[in-house]
Amino acid sequence: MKKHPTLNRMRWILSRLTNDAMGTSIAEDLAYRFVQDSKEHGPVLSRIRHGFRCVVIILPLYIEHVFGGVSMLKNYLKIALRHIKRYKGYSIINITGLAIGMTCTILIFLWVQSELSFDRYHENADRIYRVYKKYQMGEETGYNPSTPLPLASAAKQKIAGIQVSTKYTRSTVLVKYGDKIFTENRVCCADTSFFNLFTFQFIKGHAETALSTPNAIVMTRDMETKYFGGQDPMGKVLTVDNRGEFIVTGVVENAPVHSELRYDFFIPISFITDVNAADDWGTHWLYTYVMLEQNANLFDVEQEMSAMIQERLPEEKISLHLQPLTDIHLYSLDGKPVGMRYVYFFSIIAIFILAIACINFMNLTTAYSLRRAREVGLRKTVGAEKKQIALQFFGESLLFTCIAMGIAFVLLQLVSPAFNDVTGRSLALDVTNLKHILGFFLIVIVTGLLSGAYPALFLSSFRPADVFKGSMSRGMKGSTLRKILVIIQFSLSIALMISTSVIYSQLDYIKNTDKGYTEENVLYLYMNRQLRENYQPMKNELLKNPGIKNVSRTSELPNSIWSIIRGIVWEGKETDEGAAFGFAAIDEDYIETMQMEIVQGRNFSKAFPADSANYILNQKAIAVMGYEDPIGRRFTLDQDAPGTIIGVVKDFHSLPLNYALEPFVLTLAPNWYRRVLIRVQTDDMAGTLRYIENVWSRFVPGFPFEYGFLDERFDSMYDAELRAGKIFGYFVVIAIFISCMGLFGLSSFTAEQKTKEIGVRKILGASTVKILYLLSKEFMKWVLLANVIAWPMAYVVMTKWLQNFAYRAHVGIWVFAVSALAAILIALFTVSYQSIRAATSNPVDSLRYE
Amino acid sequence: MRFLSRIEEILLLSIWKLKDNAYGISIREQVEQDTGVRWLSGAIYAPLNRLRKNGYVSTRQAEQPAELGGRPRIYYILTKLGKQKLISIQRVNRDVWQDVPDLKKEF
Repeated sequence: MKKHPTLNRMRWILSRLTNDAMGTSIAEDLAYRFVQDSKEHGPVLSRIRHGFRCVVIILPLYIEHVFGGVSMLKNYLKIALRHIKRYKGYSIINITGLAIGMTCTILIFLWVQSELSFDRYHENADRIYRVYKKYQMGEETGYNPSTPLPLASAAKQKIAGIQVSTKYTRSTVLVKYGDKIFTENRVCCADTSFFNLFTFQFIKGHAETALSTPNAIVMTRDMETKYFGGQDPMGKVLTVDNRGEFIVTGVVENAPVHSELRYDFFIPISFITDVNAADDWGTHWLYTYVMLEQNANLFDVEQEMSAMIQERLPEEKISLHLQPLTDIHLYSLDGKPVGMRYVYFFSIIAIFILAIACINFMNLTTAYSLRRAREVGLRKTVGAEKKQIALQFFGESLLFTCIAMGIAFVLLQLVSPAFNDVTGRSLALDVTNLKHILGFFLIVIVTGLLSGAYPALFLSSFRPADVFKGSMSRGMKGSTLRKILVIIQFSLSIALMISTSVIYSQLDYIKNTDKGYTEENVLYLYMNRQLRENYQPMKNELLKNPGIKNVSRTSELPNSIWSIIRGIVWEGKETDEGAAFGFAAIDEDYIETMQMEIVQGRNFSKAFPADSANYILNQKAIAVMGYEDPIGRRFTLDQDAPGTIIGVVKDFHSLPLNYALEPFVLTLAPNWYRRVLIRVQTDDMAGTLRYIENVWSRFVPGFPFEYGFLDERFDSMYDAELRAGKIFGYFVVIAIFISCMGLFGLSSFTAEQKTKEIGVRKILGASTVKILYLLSKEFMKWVLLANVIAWPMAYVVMTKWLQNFAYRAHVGIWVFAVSALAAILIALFTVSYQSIRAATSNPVDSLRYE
Repeated sequence: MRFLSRIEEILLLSIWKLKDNAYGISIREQVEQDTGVRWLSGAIYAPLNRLRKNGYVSTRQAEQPAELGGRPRIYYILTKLGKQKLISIQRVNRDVWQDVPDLKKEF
């Protein structure tokens, strides 16, 4: 007989399942059959047949081994199903609780998985890094991912560990093909190395050559459809910004959702770079990415790169560092877990919800165990071992879990569209993805284990003598643990509830903070060449409409001004202080349009031609400079054109409230105008908009009319927070719902247990209220205790979350108090149904059989 | 008396027929030859195990000759109890079949 590699292993497994003799016989037989088969059917088929035979033989042996035969298993199943049918309320609470819990957990883990998979699809994702700079500004350390133009190629040439390097920037341009004109804001200016470093799927064209000519353009599949419909775009000519003609050389797959690179078009970087800029190390405006060699030392590369820039800019305290590509989405440059924090938060919620559902199951199963006590007693009397009983109940829990799994699967399909709506992702359980399937079953198994283990041990430990003597106190066994579990359950729910209120009060705070300007009713338009030329007549025309109050120009939208300017000089400034101020170019009408408040001095004015070299600062900037009387002081951004401070405005929030107020400088700089702001004040918004569009098409023909409202940007600025708030809200409701189902089950159990006690009490003259109190006080004690546990927990977590924001809502005691009150009311309400029913029942019914 | 299941009965008979040469493979092949159908291993060994547990067969371990792999092989032997069981089954079968009218005759 030929030696078979798995024979010994097979024999071992089979011996464990039965006994040595059987194991040996069967393993020998299987090996024999395998040898016979391979003579007849060839190696592949015989292997399949062998595998099949192994499974077929192990299954019945296993069932026999564990349950003592198939008939026993059938009996267990029958009893389990009978119980599910007989105690419908109990089964429904258990199964729906588990199903909802599992659904939430799976959804959250899908989200977490997508969050963690950002940019991992690139072939060498683990070796790709983004270059960022760290700079010293007085006491403060700043971080910034913008880098100078020559860095990428210089680093590749000089530094040994770098395999590929690339640079890119995103720009907004007007793209035209035939009669189709759109403003595109996801246009990447890059070069061929971009496609070498990152992984792109080219549908048409080739990565190596796509951007090799200065007038090439590559687009995504969506853009192909948008501009060309069904036509083949290759070789067609697109006009960009009405000045450059570009030939389509490639089409790539759409940008994946889970990528920090966002793109619709690629054009060569030469389109926006100046020939003279090739050696400009002082202007930082591009992103640089590098791919390191397999064995490169990260630290050495950072050192060499820093040396490179310090040599060029000796007077600045700058060092360059590398951030892993896969960290960009999850961590900020200074290493704060910005995105990761939400991953943790939601994982914790998932675990909480699953725990709550499992606790329900454990509690109800043990509480109702009395119904099964006689069965256990009888089984033990006729010879069942403890192990067998434990397995029986464990199997029953698994049965519950499996039914719940089926429901969860259906629920997932129903709920995931809504969930995707909230998260902005396209998440779905993918049955062809092995990871998803394994994860799904893992959650099912974990749920089964968590919820089934304790009841199995609990029930199997009943002693037949106690059961039949009736000396077992009714359902009181294990009640301490049950209490603890309910308290845990409610602590979790209350903690979630408090967290949600804190999140919402912070969002509310953000919305209502005085920003130093008025965001409402301000419309913005994009500046373009034609608009720049025709601005004055168009403005005059616009102001003729009574609904339009002000029109002005600026460089960036007032609520997200990211520009920072350095190299500022002022009277009495100590030279080595590297001050950096926020910076915006405005015109004479801006302050009035935004309804900002001038606290000292005056606004820019046409009456003073010298104003083009003058500045308006905010209070913070004045405080930084330490002036008491700032007006008329020398101040300049440009050594060659000295200017003075003519005004001071009240502090305003130029950035989302995650960031602190900045010292800020406002200047008249026509070259920087990029946006037009229009303040409207009208009851007929639609009509005013029509009017504006009309004026636009007269003065800026050939450009599409695109506009937005300033306050709508709120949603996109606080996107992560708003989504988190919403998701939190939903899951909290679910967590509380599941907890309440458990409480409901328990309260009906208690009411049932105390039927006779209530009957006797009523006969002896207890009032309904007294009895209600009797039935509810126990639960109320639990909920109160749960509050005590939940408060510090929520407080710690939420303080941590609020640290994201430079400006925080005050978390008052009322948040906690309201949550506590809500929890108590909810619990009371849940319990009351059963309690009232028990309290108002006629004692005759409950005592009839005594 | 407790009746055996049909497969248990067949297994006992096969072991009896094979005498000293009754081990896993030969038993299965004997059963297949007698019944004329292929049997799944599980359908053979689970009842065989039951017979052993109930004391109708016992096992004996013997080394195989080296040229056959030298691994231990388990031989099955009918016990006294098994033998009695077979005898009683034979009697019952004979009694049951004794006054059966000719099955080939038409109604």
